[in-house]
Amino acid sequence: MTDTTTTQVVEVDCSTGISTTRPMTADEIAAQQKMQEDFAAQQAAQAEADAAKAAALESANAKLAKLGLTADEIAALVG
Amino acid sequence: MANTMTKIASYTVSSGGATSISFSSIPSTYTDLVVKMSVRNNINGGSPWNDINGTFNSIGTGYSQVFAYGPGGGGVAGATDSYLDIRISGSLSTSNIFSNIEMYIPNYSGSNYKSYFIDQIDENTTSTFLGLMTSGLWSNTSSISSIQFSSTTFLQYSEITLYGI
Repeated sequence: MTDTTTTQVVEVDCSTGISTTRPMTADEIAAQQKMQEDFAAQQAAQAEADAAKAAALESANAKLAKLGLTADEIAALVG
Repeated sequence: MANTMTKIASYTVSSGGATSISFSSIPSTYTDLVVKMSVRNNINGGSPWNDINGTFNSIGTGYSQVFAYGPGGGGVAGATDSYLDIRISGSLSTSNIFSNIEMYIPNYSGSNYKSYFIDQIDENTTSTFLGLMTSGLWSNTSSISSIQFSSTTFLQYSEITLYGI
């Protein structure tokens, strides 16, 4: 399994079964770059949302503990 | 006679890798399409899995999808995308692990909007995996005549097969 980045596009013609390989066009390279940027932005947004959720859960657990609930009771409550 | 699944075309990536794999001139004679993939790419996005994009007829707009996912050891969560997105094993996955994916596209040649469903399970180790169930809609009335999947690089031995039903 070779792990190197390529810019080769494969096109399979279903009417003939013939596959051809060609270099990416400038438009395709730009589209690919945008896809990678979108993915990075989505990952960052997901990480931010996960962190906010974890912080909210930690805060909620702390408030429940202040009310006198034990760790087992909090776990039973929030799952 | 019962409907059967017919292999239309298949492609296995060679040692040079491939940035995208497309199937063109898809015959309109079937009722539904099925795409089966065993794929892996070389993206290091900070997790064992990362996204690839799909398009119908080389049109990159009009997609919406919602998916439920469950990482190994965690609960099930949901999320949405505004493009045809499939999450596959990348460079941080265990070596030689390939994602197993099935995509179903009913009524692909009709004049209605096109729905699609994706089921997949991506193993990483014996204790970590990512399961995904995706339901998507392409808000376009065109008959689907081509399908393209794009990555940074699909690695050698990745394989995509298109079937008609």
